[in-house]
Amino acid sequence: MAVLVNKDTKVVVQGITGREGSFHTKLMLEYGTKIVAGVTPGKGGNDVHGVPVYDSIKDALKEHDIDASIIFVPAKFAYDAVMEAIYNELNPIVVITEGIPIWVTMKLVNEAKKRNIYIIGPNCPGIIVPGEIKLGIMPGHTFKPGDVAVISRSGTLTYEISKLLTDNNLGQSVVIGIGGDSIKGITIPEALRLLENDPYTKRIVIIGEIGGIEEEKAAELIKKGEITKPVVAYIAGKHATLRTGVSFGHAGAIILGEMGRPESKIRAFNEARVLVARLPIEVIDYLKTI
Amino acid sequence: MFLYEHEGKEIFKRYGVPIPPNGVAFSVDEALKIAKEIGYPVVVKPQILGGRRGKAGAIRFAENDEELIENAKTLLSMDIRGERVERILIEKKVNIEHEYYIAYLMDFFERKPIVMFSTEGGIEIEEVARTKPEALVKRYIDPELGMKSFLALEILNDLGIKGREARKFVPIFMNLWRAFSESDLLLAEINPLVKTIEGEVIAVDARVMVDDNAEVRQEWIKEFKEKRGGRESIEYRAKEKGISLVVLEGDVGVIGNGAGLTMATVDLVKEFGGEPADFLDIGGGAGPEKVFEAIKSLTQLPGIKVILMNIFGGITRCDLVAKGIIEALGKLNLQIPLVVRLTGTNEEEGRAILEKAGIKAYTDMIAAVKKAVELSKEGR
Repeated sequence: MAVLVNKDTKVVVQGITGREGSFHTKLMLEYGTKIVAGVTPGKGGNDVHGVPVYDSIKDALKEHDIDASIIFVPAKFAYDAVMEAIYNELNPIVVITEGIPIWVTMKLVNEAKKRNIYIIGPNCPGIIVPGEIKLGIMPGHTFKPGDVAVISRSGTLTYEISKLLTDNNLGQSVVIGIGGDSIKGITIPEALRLLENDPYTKRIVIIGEIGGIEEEKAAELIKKGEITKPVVAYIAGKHATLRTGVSFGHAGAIILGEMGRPESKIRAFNEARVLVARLPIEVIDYLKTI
Repeated sequence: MFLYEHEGKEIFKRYGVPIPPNGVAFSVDEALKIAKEIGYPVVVKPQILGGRRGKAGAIRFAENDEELIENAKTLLSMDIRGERVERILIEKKVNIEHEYYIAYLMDFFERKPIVMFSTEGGIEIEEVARTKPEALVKRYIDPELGMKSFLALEILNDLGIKGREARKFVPIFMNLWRAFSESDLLLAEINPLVKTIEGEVIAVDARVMVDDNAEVRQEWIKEFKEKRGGRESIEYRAKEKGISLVVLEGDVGVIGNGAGLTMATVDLVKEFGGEPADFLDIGGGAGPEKVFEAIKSLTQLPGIKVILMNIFGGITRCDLVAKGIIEALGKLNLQIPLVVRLTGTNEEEGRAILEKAGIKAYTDMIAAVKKAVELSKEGR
């Protein structure tokens, strides 16, 4: 049993009939993910790649056991879709959708927290336990099973570094893409706590970036000794200090005054004795030494 | 997106937060016209997005036309921390009895709104927190409950403001909260919030940030953007095409897919001795059109010597990226070299398309970065 999901997790895809939803349902099925149902309001009765489609999660639950959800609906409908998943007690809920207003995410995350439900994302690539389950949009062949966990605020940079890991025979216990928005479900510190208790994870890679204070909070946990597993970090956006107050691609990748600066994150990690790689390949070098 | 002070005040006004009579001027003539309407004395304030004008000595006063002409001229030719002043706010001067501070902001980490109030306004709030923390109250707001007048009174009472005096401030708390929570704001700060000699409580400044993702449900954001001159900027035009562009100041043009990978590419250029000219993210699943537009955007950057493309295909397909590159080469008459790193989904097809056009794509990111930096130096 890995963290959050495993090979037995039964999944519903919300927004399964859309272009992205349908395309990635196919790829997830090919990877071996147990997708038992899809939901698109008003499209109940159809099927997508052999997966039956329902109008609501409630209706799908009459026919199937469902644990988790992955959501592809457009930002405009995201509030309803995520709330529906929360009210039906699905856990975790992976939100791929980009462009959800921050106030909406704030309300969704608070509601989920009250019920001890994990939201991953929004604006994220999802979660993969290599060889078991892919609940996301990442290219599956880039990953392989092992004992390194990856927590990342980025999509493609995660693929880049995971590929380096895989090519260097460092397989992964789980890779969690927590997303690029300012307010999100699982944060780096929360993911660290989960991984600390995961018997399959021996080492952890954090791929952070400018914006927010998650990296600093993660460093605090490590410094306090609450995380004992060795951690290596990479921070993207070291050269973004030239332009403050603007987002670098991700809504959350923004320096606001003194908050979100790369040097603050690197300093916090250094103080917690976490090695911070300058180049992506150094992540591999550092992992090999710990 | 940060708002100009006058834009922020426009939002405040809609929600009943009192502001002094004012108007925005782009020229001395316009400034005079506004002053005639609202009457002297006036305050003249440059409108910039960076904040902290007071420290730059950029807030001026005028008692008459001569003083206004002089100050408006000076301010309209000013650069404040690299930001060109092109608009000034002419505002009726208020008679200050005391300056306060009020702000609502979104705490991204705790995922809850915060309210802050202080009896020490007019100076930076970080300084108050450091030197006089007893004059500052900061509270989390339960997102389900929202702001309530009893909470406002509790905060005011804690700072020694009571009874009839406290009641004067409650509408500001409530109306500013409505502006904040109903307009998808991430920051709504009034510093100073002024109590006038006449006994009014009035917002003399406005520092406002709005969530860019809220444009779908806040129509005023688009209106504000259109009213701004920024429409013509390369960054704005790129955004209209779904491309995320931030202009930096070097000569190595950077294009990537995905924010993290693109930021990392910018960092690597710097790491290997080059100067990145920009950050340009074509996003996930980009087709040939977006790639074409991305390259086209960069050709408009002055002083650019080489373009470096770093693509890791996940949902983005390398063959489609390659098609975009070929189209750009054909139509744009590119005068500068293009270094491409291509790996991931449909890599072989993409590579084959580029090879036909004589471009050898790199697989390794570092090798591509080094090559681009080297080329940028040859051109110097």
